Amino acid sequence: MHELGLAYSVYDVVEQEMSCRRGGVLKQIKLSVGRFSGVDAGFLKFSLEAILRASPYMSARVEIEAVKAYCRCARCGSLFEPPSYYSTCPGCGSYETTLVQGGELKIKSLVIETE
Amino acid sequence: MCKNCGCDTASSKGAADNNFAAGTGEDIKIKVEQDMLHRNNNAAMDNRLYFTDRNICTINLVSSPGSGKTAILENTIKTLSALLPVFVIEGDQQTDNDARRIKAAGAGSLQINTGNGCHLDAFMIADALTKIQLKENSILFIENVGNLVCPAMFDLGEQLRTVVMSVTEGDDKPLKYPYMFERSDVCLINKIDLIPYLKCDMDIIRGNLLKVNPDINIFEVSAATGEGLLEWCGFLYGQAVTEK
Repeated sequence: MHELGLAYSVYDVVEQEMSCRRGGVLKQIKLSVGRFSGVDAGFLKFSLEAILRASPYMSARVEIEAVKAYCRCARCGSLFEPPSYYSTCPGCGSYETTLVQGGELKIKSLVIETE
Repeated sequence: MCKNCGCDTASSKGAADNNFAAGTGEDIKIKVEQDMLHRNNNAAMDNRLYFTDRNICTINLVSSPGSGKTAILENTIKTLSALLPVFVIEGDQQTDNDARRIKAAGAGSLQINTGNGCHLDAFMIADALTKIQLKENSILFIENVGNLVCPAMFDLGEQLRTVVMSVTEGDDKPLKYPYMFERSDVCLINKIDLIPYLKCDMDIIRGNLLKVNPDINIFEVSAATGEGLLEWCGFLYGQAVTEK
C-alpha cells in the first residue's frame, strides 16, 4: 500500500521541522490530497496516525484537505470538473484534456503549541 | 547549530526568526508547503543525472504480476546485447529467481528484495547503483515489483516508463488502472499468440489505451514466439543512441 510509504515521507518532514524548534508540542499536521492524486486520503490518514502513535508526536491530529479536480481541454480551452480520470471534454468531446488541479499531494502546515 | 537546516537553535534571534514565542503556550502555524514525494523526486532527479551523464538509457518496466515482463526481457536481451551492454535491476518481494533468469539470458542483473514493500522507489535505485558498475552508452532495465497501482507514484529517474499488459487481462485494463497507463510512455501488449483462443479485441484495447494516454507508444508482442519484439528492440536502440 503506497499510502504507508507516503506517510513515512510525511513523518520524515515533520521530524525534520520539529528538530529545528525549541520544544513545543505538535498538535496538528495538515495535508492536501487531490482527488486524482492516486492516493486514498483515508488510508493515508490511517497510516500516518499509526506512525504518530508510536512516535514522540502521539497526540498530533492529522487533517486532510480534499482538493477538487479540474481539467483543461487542449482543443477548445474549456475548464471543467471531470467525473473520472480520463473524461472527455463536455464542450467538444475531445480526450485531449490535462489535469490542472487535483493531482496534489502536499504537506501544507504544522500547528505547534509552544511551551 | 541545527544539523538539518543550519539554524541557530541556541539563540533567541534564531527563535524569533522561526516565529516562535517561547513560554506563551499559544499555537503557532508553520507553513510547510512541501510535496509529499519531494524527497523521492529529488533522489529520482539525481538518478536521472547519473544516467544522462553516462548516456545510459533507463527503462522502468511495470505491470501486473504475470504479464510477462521477465520473459520479454529474456527475449529483448538476446537481441539488444549484441548491440549495446544491457543490465537489469530486478525488484520482487522475495527470491532472486528473476535475476537468475536474466543472468541466464546473458545480461548482468542485481536483485532488490522489497520484503513487504509493494514498489521500488528512487532511494532503492540509488542504493543499487552503488553496488554495480554500469557501462556508458548502455541500457538499464528496472523490472519493478508486479503491481499496477503503487509503482505509478514513484519516479525512479528513468528515461522511459514501459507498462506491460497481456491480452488475457481484459480489454478494459487501461481504464481500470488509469494512473499507471497515463504515466507511461510505452505499452507492450503481450501474449498476442493467445489471441485465437480468447475473446479479446485488439481495437478496443488500443482505443482504451489512447483514451487514457493519447501519446502512448504501443507495441504488440509475444515473448513466447518472439513476434513484435524486433520492432520493440529497434525502438529501444533508437532511444539509447539518441543523445540525451
